[in-house]
Formats: sequence, structure tokens, C-alpha cells
Amino acid sequence: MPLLEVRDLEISFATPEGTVHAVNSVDFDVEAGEFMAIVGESGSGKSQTALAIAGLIAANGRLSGSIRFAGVELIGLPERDYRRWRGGGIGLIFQDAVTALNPYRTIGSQLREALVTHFPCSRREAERRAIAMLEQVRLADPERRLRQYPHELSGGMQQRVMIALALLPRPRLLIADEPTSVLDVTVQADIGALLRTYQQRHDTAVMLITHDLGFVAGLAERVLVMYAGQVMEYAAIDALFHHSEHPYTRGLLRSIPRLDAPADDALHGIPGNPPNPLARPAGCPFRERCPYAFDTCLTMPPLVRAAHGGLKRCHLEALGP
Amino acid sequence: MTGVNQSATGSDAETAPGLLPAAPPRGRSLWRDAGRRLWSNHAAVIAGFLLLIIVLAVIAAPWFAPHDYLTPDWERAASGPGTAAGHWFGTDAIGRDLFARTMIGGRISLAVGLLATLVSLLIGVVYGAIAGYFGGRIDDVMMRLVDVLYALPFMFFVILLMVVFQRHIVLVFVAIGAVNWLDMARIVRGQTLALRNRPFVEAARAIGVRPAAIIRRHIVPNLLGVVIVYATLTMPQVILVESFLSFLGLGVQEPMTSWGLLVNEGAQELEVAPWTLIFPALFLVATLFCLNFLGDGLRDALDPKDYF
Repeated sequence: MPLLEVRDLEISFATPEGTVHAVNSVDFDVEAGEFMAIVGESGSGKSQTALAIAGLIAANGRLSGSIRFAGVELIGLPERDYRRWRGGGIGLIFQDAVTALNPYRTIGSQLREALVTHFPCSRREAERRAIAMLEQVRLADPERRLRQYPHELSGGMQQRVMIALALLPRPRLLIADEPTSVLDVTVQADIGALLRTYQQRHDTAVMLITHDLGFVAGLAERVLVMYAGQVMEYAAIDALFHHSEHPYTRGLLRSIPRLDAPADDALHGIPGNPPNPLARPAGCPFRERCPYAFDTCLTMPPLVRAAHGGLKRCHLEALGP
Repeated sequence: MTGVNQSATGSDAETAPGLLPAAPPRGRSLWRDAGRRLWSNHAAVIAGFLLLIIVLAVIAAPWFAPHDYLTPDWERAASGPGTAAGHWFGTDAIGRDLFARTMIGGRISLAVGLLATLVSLLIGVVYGAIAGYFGGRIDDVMMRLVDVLYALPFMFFVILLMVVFQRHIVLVFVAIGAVNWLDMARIVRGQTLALRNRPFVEAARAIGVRPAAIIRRHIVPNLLGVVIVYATLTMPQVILVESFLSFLGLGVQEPMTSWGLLVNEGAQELEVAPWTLIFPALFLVATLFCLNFLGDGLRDALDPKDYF
């Protein structure tokens, strides 16, 4: 049984302008201990999927479908019961550590709170374990950090604290929602390696959410590509990078800048914009930007088994090399 | 971290030369840090000392004042200030020593101000934070109750209390506190509504922290700045409300007095005996000034990001 089973997940928000369909019928699994990634551009519904799993969807949001974590249905679970799964079951790393840390409390007191909420222990013991965790996320001088306030650390250091905060309750699934998008590239690689090491050492499943396919390479075992609230493709990383069966993924891959490209080579992009989530046109959501689009694309393609062994949502039989 | 040190010393140096710490401060908590920052705020420190002197004087005065506050000195009614007869602040229209009366009145005014403010602070913060954090129906019900209490006329409420419980000084505290927490609850609720959507509250929820702990450890510390400023604004207001109640005969009664009452009496004799207004007013104003400076300093000191 997979650790996390998401079936037919739909998330919509009632807004004054109408109903926004953020996520439409998303299915995927996460196996225990695996490192998977969800990739998509902004507005693809990847962050809302993550929040839905943690039960933190905004008050005007509506959920349907099924999210089963360790065999337990999470949708419709009362807040009180949900709390037991948060932290220890599902850990969440937020995009912007600068705002996700309480400015009025020292790093130490926030780390202690994360730990003691799940493992009641003495202050000294909590401090010892917080220091050990800060060492594990490779934050220099951990004893002093405990007494500092968030604003006294750099962005990269704050993100490490944020990761320590999520890891202290020993989650079985760690969701990292764009953990590095506010950090610079060298720190980004460090954080990626850190997550990878932790996942392998502690057999923790990691769900990395990012818009950067390049960041995912070398980290994730499986990649889920989302677009306009739909799963476009879900495949093992090598299959996805080398034999992608979906025009959208191909477009994303081509848009990664390459160092070995000729210097005068222009940057590639996918022309056009994602559809308006208030009024999505019928049929394949990528139809209007797809170079391969044909008549059948006016109907929604089903999510089917692809030649590379994963899943794809496309009418095309094969996409060629 | 060197970057942090530099920014800390940089801003310290601008405002308070000579006070910059050589090494990053050790052994920190919100309150200890706040204490240190408050200490380097000259205006707040001076205000604090002045307030302390006033409080001590008000407590100790009856033991060293040459006259008591209720015995009329018939030969020197309405005499001006001087040291000869021991009436340092002069006497009022019926010859009672104004110094003793100012001090004894200060006890009442400060006690009412402090207690009523604390009561309104405590109820208001807890009530407002709960309503704001949980939101939805809980918020609706709680805030409608506040609206209903708001609609209750204050004087009617006080008179009702007096009728039911007899006239008693403690009732003045209760009555004022019971009305003032409504404002505090509204302000705190508004702030909490904004705070509960901040990512660090969401992060705490994602860790599995219980709502009570989130309110106590994440919401309330972030409210401190607003709450303290509002409390320092409430205290003068409470002192004035007390004098109004006393003037109507619902608060303290003769021969007991308070600063508000003394100022009121003094204002009527301004032309013939200005000292009966000047001295109590001086104390009242000085106290309110000190409170405002202290509150301002506390607000700045309680913000960890604010090195000054």
C-alpha cells in the first residue's frame, strides 16, 4: 500500500468573481521512503495540492475526492484528528522561511515547540535534540542560533531552520513547497542535497514541489508534471527527461537553459499563457499552446499508461524522439 | 554573524553612542531583550523613574506628611502653598491639607487606573484573540455579544451595579474594567484576524501545535505592541472616568478623594485659589506623560527587530 494515495482530488475556491478550479481530478501515489517531485508553473495547482494534503486549504476552499495517508482518509477529517497527522505524519516546509518563522520568538523556542508537541521531554533534552537537528541541516554554530531571532539569520539559514522545524517531529512524508525559490542557486543545490540525504538516511518520503525541472534532476525518483490543475505526466525521472511522452513536459525540458548550448542560442519558452482558472476552455488545457494540437484535443484526454511506463494525459499515440 | 553585528551596532550608534554591546547579547528571551532595549531608551527610563517616585510618594506620603487629609485647619482655610504651617501645597476651601489630599487621591487614581486597565487587558486580549483566531461562527457569536454590551448605557450599568452591590470602591474598578475590555477585545480581534493568516501561524499548524498553544505562543506575543500602546491610552481614560463617576457621587466619596475629583474642585476655585487646581493637575499630567513615554518605549522594546 502506498504511503499516500490521492484520488480524483478536486480543489475549488468560491471567490466574488466566481468559482476558481485550482485542481481538477488529480490522481497519484507516493510510496513510503521515495523522493518524488511535482513540477508545474505558477497556477498549476501544485501548492494547493500540497496544502490539501496537510489540511491547510483556505476557508473558502472546497475539496472533493480522496486523500488517504497510511490508509486513513484525510478529507473530511475533523480538525482535532487532523492535528495528529500533522508534523509527525505529514511535515511541511514552506516556501518563504522569512515569513514562516515567528519574528517574536527565538529559533530555540520555536524548535523546542516543534519537538515537544510530538515528543514531550525536558527543556535540556529538547535543546540537545534541536542542536543535533541544526547540525544535521548543516547550520553552523547551532548553540548560538538557538538564542537568536529569525531576522538575525540570512535567508538560507532561515530556510535551514524551517527544514529543521519540519524534521524534528520525524514526519513520514515531508512536503517541501518550493523550498528554494527565494534562495540563490548555490544554496538551492545545498538544500536539495540536504533533503536527499535525509530522505535516504531516515527512509522519509519527500514530496518536492517546484517550478524548476532542472532542480529536480538528480534528486527525485519520480516526477509528476502538473498543468492547469491537471496531471499531465507522471513518470520515473530518467523516462521523463529522456523519453517524455507529453508535449508540455517537452516544452518545459527545452526551456531549461543549457551550458553546453551555443552562445548565440536563444532561450526557449512555451508561447502563450496558462488558461484562466475561472473559465477553462473544454478539452485539453494545453491545447492552445501545443504545437501538436489536432481536432481530438477539443475533448479532454484521459490519463493513460504511456510507453515509458508512467502515465500521461495526451491524445497523441507517440511523440517521437 | 558579522552581518547582524554590524546592523545592530550601526543603528545603536546612530541613536545612543556609547551603548553598543561589544559582543552579541547572550541569554535571551523576549522580556530580557526588551528590558535591555528599554534601558537604553532615555525618555522611557526617565519616565519610569518619575513614575516610580510618584508611586512611592503616594504610598509613603501619609506617613511623613505633617497633616492628614481630612482634618480641616480652620485658621488657614484656602491658604496658599508655603512651608511655615506645614501646608506645602496650601489648603482647600475648608482648610484641609492639599499635599495630603493629593497623595491620598493619587492612591485611588493610580489603583483604579492600574486595576481597571489590567482587567480590561486580560479579558480583552483573551477574548479578542480567541474570537479572531477561530473566526467563523465563534467569532460572530462572541463579537455580537460585545456589540450588545456596547449598546448598554455605561451610566445605567454603573447605577445598576451600585444598586445591587451597594456603593463600594472596588465596584468602580469592576465597572470601568467591564466596559473598557470591549474596546480592547475589538482591537485584539482585528489584529488577530490579520495575524492568523500569516505563514508562521500556518507553519505552527502544520507542525501540529494545538490552537490554545498557537494563540498563547504565536498570536499573543505578536499583539504585545498594539496592546501595550492601547493600555497606556486606556489608563488616562480610566483615571478620568473615575473622576467623572466620583463627581456624580457614584465613585469615591468625601472625605476620600482622587486626582480627578481634586482637579474638578480646583477648577471651580481657580480664580481665588489656583493652587488647588495646579498641584493635583500637575501630578495627574505628569503621571499620564510618564505612562505615555513608558508605553511608547515598551512598544519599541518589545519588537525584536527594532534595535531602536
